[in-house]
Amino acid sequence: MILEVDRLTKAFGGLIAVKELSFEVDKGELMGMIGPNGSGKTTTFNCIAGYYNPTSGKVIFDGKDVTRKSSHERAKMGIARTFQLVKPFHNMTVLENTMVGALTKGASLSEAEAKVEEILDLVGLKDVMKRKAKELPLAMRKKVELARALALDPKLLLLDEVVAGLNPTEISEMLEVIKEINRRGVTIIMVEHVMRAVMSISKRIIVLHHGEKIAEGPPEEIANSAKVIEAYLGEKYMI
Amino acid sequence: MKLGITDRSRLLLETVGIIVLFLIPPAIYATPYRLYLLHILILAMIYAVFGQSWNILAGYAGQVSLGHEVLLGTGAYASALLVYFYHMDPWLTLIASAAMAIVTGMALGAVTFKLRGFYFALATLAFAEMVRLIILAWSGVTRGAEGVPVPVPQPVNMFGFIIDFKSKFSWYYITLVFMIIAFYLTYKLTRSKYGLLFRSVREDEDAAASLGVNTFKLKMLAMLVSAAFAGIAGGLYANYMGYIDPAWEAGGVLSPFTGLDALVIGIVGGMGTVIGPIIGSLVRVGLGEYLRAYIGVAAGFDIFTFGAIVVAVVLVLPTGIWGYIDEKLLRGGVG
Amino acid sequence: MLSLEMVLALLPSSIVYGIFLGGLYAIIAVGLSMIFGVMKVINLAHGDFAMLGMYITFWLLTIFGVPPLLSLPVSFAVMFAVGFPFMWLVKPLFKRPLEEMINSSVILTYGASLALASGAQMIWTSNFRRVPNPYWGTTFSIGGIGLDMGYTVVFMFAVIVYLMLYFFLIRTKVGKAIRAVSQDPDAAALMGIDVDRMHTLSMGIGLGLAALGGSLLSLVYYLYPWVGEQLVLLMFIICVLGGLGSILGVFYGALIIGLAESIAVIFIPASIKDVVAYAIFLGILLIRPQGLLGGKM
Ligand SMILES: Nc1ncnc2c1ncn2[C@@H]1O[C@H](COP(=O)(O)OP(=O)(O)OP(=O)(O)O)[C@@H](O)[C@H]1O
Ligand SMILES: [Mg+2]
Repeated sequence: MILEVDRLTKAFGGLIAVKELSFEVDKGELMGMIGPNGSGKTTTFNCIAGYYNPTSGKVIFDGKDVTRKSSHERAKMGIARTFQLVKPFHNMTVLENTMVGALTKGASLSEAEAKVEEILDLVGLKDVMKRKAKELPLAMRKKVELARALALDPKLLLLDEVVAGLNPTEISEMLEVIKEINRRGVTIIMVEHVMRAVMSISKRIIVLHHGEKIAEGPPEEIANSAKVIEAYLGEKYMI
Repeated sequence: MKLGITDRSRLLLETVGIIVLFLIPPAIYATPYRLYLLHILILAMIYAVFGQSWNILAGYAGQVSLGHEVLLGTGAYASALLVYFYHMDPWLTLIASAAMAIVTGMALGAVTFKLRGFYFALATLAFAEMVRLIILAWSGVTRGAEGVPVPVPQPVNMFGFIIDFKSKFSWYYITLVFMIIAFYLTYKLTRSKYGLLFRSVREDEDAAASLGVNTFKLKMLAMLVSAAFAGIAGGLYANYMGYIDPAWEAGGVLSPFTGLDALVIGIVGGMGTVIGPIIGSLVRVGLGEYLRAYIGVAAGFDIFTFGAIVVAVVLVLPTGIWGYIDEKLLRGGVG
Repeated sequence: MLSLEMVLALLPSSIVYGIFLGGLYAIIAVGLSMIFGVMKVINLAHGDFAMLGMYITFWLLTIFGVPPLLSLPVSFAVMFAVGFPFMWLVKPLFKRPLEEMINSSVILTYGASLALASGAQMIWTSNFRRVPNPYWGTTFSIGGIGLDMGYTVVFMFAVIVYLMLYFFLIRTKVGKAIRAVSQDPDAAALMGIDVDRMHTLSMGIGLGLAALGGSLLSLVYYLYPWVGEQLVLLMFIICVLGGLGSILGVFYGALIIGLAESIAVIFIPASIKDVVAYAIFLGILLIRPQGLLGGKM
């Protein structure tokens, strides 16, 4: 087990975004997390990655309690993430964007450059590595986020809606990359709003609704769960 | 069109540039305005170091300071007070200048670096004005509103050269050497691992932290270097001008208008470029001297012009003069 | 050294004076808070619009003989109109990423502030001036507490204007639309609110209030071109204390600063009294940065 989330709760003033949420993730797993708008997926990620301090509950990573550790400490321990609203370093080249993670892990400039070359190749950004991030289209900026996270050599990768807003070709390309990353041993939690994308590549899915876990299991089971269908009812994105 | 200048030709250009700078005094020796010209250039070089100091913090690490005068001012005061009360050697007092500015900068950073960009900007304004008022009120130590005269140092014999501090020629070379060192160190720093990490903090703190960057520590590092430069610029300024005071009005080392100078130099020259502050300081000092002719006609015209220039540059030339040249004509590197 | 008795004797009128001062500050600061709340623009030129309001009152009186209190609506209207060209300057920044936008707005409005103040210096010179009015320096006393007539009048008007603003924002359709934009621009746009128009309106109202506050200030304080630079930081401190973007909070923040300043001058020279406000500001930033950040994402 690489990650254990234990009765995690996060409140913003009176609004409880995540409520008593518990789940575990095994080493090497590719787990999906879905839920309607505002169900607390991103907030959960923010608590795991250290962007927020949870109101209560614990986050255990790799056997260590990291609940009170800051983002950068967790990043160095091996938790990497992407942001739902992409946050590339706009005025830096793709190469420089990607090098940051390698540098914080102790690499020198030239080591970092050599190291990220392979990553850029993997995600398909090698041709544009000298371009500034702000010049790239959304699909590529999402890949920049992915590449940047990989340069940390993460043990756990949190992907927040990396295929949202992409066209079908771009989606299948991205899913291939994600599968490959997982095959190389990186544990992944993938948040998606649309179920279809996660269903095709993850073996286990958990479903959030109003900050609570309402279902957990293999994709087929989730797709047919009455509770889940109800939660999504009235949503414009259907299963 | 990109010229594709190589590192080699760039080095060549810089070498030529430095040689030209060294040759300016003998070249203008025969002109009747030589003292005036030298004075302008000396100020421009001190300002360039100060502008570079702001640029490291704001242009590279993204922490837009509006109270940068506090670093120059405390540095200037450290040197001036030591020279005035203890007759210390000005060279030694420059170390105190840097140290004093670093202490001030660390205090400022400790209070403000946990904050978002614009809170930082506001806090720097408040912090700088608070320090100015304290220095003004603490007259037992600082001589308060009277200011501090800084006597001209005795001539120094350095490797056989006699440096006479009454001579503008001496001062020209002193400030030139300091400027070259400051710019060289900036170049090295910004091309290093830390330069890249500074820029990641500037672009997006959350993203940087998510990649393992200790953003607080990095901002403190930028502040450290920035403060050392500003402090030394302040020490040089105090000794060159021979007098400093804590006035709010333009001209005071702790005046908000001194902070404005750093901002104008950095923005006009190009934030986040190494060369920018030289261009910015030439514009600032050159234009400032030109506009002085009109002060008699309408006091405030110079500041009006610089205010308007800042607005215009933010709107139409956000990367500044050198940023524009670098992006459009050269390789479009990091400046 | 001050004896305790002296302090106690001075305290009651200092407290009243502090509350009055706070009411005045609140009018100027609330516009700043609104502009930030609605557009995320840090308006460092805000104090200079108050300064312009002061000069409007001054000119109307000295040239046309308009009584100072009648110039309040004129001040508001003129700077409301100035809101349009000012908006035109600021608007191009909205296209930039948020962090860069905020930083650029800080620098741009700082430049604008210096240009406005030095522009005023070119027109009116840097002399200190006074708006002659019957309230200035007149005192009366209630229950043994000496009160300044000028500040009392100013406070009354400040409270009236504040209440009008409050009802405008809570009760009217436009006011509700402005609040909707400040809470969530995207949702507001989906609801069919013209976000651009609300931006311009709040800029106009914000600058108008600054000028109106300046006009009030001119009844009790000297005017000079750089008065805005002195004001703006205090106004920001007030907004931060009350929560940038909040309307009621600003009033409390203004009271705190008004009281802090009026009580401070019992103990320290008036020329350095702002140190207290700055120290409160920095102290709060140091202790509770997270409380001031608001929504982080
Ligand atoms: N910083 C914050 N301050 C206040 N409320 C917040 C904050 N962040 C999130 N929330 C609220 O918490 C709830 C959960 O939000 P969250 O972003 O985690 O949902 P999500 O499942 O990721 O939704 P989406 O599918 O839209 O990305 C929402 O109601 C949201 O408005
Ligand atoms: Mg989300």
